[in-house]
Amino acid sequence: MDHQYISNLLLAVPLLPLFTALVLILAPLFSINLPKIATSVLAVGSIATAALCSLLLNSQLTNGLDANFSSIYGNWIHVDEFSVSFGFYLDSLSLVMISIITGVGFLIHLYSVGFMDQDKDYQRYFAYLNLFVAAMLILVLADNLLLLFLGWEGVGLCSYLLIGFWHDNTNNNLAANKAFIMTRIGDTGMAIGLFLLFFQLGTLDIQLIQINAAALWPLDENNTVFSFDMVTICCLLLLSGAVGKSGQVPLQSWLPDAMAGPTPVSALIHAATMVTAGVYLIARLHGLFELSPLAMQCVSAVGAVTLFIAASAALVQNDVKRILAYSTISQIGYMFLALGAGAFSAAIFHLMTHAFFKALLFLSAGALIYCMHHEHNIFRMGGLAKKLPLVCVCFFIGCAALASLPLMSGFFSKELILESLLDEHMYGYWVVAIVGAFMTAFYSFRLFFVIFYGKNNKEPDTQPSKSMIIPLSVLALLALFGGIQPQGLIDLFTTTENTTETHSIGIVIFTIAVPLCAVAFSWFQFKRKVFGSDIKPGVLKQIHKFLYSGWAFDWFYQRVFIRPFIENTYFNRNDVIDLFYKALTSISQWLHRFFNQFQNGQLRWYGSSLVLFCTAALTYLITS
Amino acid sequence: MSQVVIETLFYITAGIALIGALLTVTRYNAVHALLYLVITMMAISLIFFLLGASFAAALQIIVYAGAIMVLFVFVTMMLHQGEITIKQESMLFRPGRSIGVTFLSVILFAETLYLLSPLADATFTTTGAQINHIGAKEIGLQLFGPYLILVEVSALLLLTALIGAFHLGRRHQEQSL
Amino acid sequence: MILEQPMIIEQIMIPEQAMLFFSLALFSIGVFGVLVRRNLLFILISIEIMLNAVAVLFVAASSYHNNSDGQIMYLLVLTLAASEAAVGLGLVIQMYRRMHTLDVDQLSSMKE
Repeated sequence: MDHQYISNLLLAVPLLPLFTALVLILAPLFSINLPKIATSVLAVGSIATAALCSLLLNSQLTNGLDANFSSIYGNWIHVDEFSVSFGFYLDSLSLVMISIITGVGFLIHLYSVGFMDQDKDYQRYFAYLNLFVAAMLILVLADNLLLLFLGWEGVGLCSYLLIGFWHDNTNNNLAANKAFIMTRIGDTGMAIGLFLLFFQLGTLDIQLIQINAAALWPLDENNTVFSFDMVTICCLLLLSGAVGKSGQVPLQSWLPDAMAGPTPVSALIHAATMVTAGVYLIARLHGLFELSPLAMQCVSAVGAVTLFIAASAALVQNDVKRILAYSTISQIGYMFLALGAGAFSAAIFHLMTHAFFKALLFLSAGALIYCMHHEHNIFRMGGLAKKLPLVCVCFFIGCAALASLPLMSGFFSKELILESLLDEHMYGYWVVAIVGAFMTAFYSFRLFFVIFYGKNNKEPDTQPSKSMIIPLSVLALLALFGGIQPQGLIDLFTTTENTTETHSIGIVIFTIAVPLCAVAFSWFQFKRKVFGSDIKPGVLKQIHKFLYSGWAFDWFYQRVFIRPFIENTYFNRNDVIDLFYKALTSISQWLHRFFNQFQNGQLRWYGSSLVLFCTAALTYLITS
Repeated sequence: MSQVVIETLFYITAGIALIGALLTVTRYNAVHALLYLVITMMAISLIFFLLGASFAAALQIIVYAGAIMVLFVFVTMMLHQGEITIKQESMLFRPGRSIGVTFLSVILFAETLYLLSPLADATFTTTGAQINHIGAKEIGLQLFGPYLILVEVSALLLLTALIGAFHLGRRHQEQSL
Repeated sequence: MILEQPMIIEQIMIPEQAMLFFSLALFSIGVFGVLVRRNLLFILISIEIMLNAVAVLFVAASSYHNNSDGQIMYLLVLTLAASEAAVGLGLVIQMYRRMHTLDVDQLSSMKE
């Protein structure tokens, strides 16, 4: 309706959580002790209000005729030709993103009230969580790349703070360091990409970038040669940032270790929001990426490789959260695959459904861990179907959606991706995707069967509390029925020429049948007690070890990068440059000792130095 | 009085002054040194007379030789610089240890010699000026005229020295200053 | 008896170089004394010799320039010498009372 109203709503969405986070952080500094109820109300309330505002924005934008809305709230940097402002840009993409972030975020905050009830750092937790939501909202609403980068770094910081939340345990700190450093490597590439973009195009405004790039580097219609030109370099650098943040190969090994943080954190950050920032970036700059076919191929390749590696690694894990982490990496690989194929709206749709069912899975896992007295190993659980019924149902819905069983939300999005791959004639990738879908269904139901069926090894302590049940139920409903692709997304990303070809019915049946077969196969293996049994030493055992360590990426990085670096620094402890500084200090020490003799406090010494100097001066004056 | 007489007198007096000064700095006994210093003062006073500065000469005797030297003598007596000190001084003051200083003084001498000798570009020659007698009357006129402030300032200086000396010479109780 | 008119002595002078030489010799004897002696009192005495040398120079200069300015300066030097002697001797007394020695080398607490 009117511009100012929407503009204010838009501003409220990220600023409310930011303000709450500041209050929660600064209150201890001013020695104000907030009671726990105040913290909960403040934190959850701010996200709830932000969700409400995004809901209102939803209605505004769908009722109104504008496809997008942008509003500038002030000037940030203005130096010569470099001008950056605080502006927010709202179109269906960012609307979907803020709805997901605030909606799922609200549910996770509600869940955290129950989960972190006994924790002593309650206030700090909610402060960081709110700060994270604020930063993520800034990221998706930004209308220029510098503001986006601000949000990018903000979510990286909050991820570090939240992974290492229980910082008394050194392992958590190490995991947080690993996450931060690996994403930092990607962020460096992205920053260089930003510099390059500004240098080439003269602006950092996202819409302007796409327009200027299309003008500067036009795409030839019959350009089938993959040329390595400037636009490709820019896109690849931005891709490196996305790879780091979204946990794709080669920067993916931080995500399984990031499960050291509290489970709601894993749900919010490493399932629903932060790891999707990379996908958002590429989707947002789709105009730029479309100009470089090579970059699109790279995106797809990264996605394909990652989904395969992660899915195979998830087959053999035994920590419930690690399985979910690898599955997150794999699903984001799907999104990257879709992005590389040009199916941007399919990717974002899958992002949305993935947020629902992955959050559901993580929160259910959290409830499971909470009730099982902090037990993570699935092989020490079993037969919990009757004992924890609600968790069982939620897990089932989540796993079904993850496996893209028919009529779940995950089914629609994954089918869309597979269809788009066929439309683009990327058959090799399609095969990889099908194999991935098989493995996904297999490991997700392996997880389900091992936990909830079979012999019961451990009794649950408690049932999940009320504040955990409500979000779980809501998310279960969303995972079931959320498979409706928003029309706005389709309108945003489709160009005029593409039409959906009808595929042969055989392909459709095949893609539906694959996950069902995988579920059946998994049930069969479960009955034969293959899961969790010891493997005889041999090739199979080696393969198992290899997959278990996530394709040995950590070992590889340790050998290739870290160890030489450490040895180099040890070697360089007494290096040549130091000699210069040591010489400086020893010279000044020598001078000190020398001049110290002149200050011995002897009166006659001082007198004679006076006379000596006068004599010398006189001599000089006379002889010159 | 003729030129030659004046000059001879000057040389003799100057010699006495120098010898007195030398002896002052090399005696062991403090009182001996002070007495030699008095002789030096007297000789300098005579030189002032020879220069025609009668007022300055009178002042030299009255103030310098009369007051300051007496002050020195008093303090020396107060400090009991007696037998022990003489023995100490005779041990301490070894001519062999003063080679460096002698060397420096000799250099100073040599420089002056060089400056005054025809070797240097000596621009000052005996100018043929005459020695006039400037007595108390002229000094007084100057002091009451252009140099009035000077008198006040020197009075202030003396006052400061008076207060300082008084304060420094007091016997304090066993507290720090 | 102060004469009413300046009495002019015809063509009688003492050569300036001799005057300068004498003054500087006296000064360097004073310097020698300051540096060599270890007794605080003797150092003060040597300072007096130096002051005297300077005084001689000033008065000689006034005589050669037919000015009374040099003698005024001599007056100041005298004042200075008096006050310095007073204060210096006061310090010497204090020093002796505290340290019971006047040996300068042992009184060196100006170190550090």
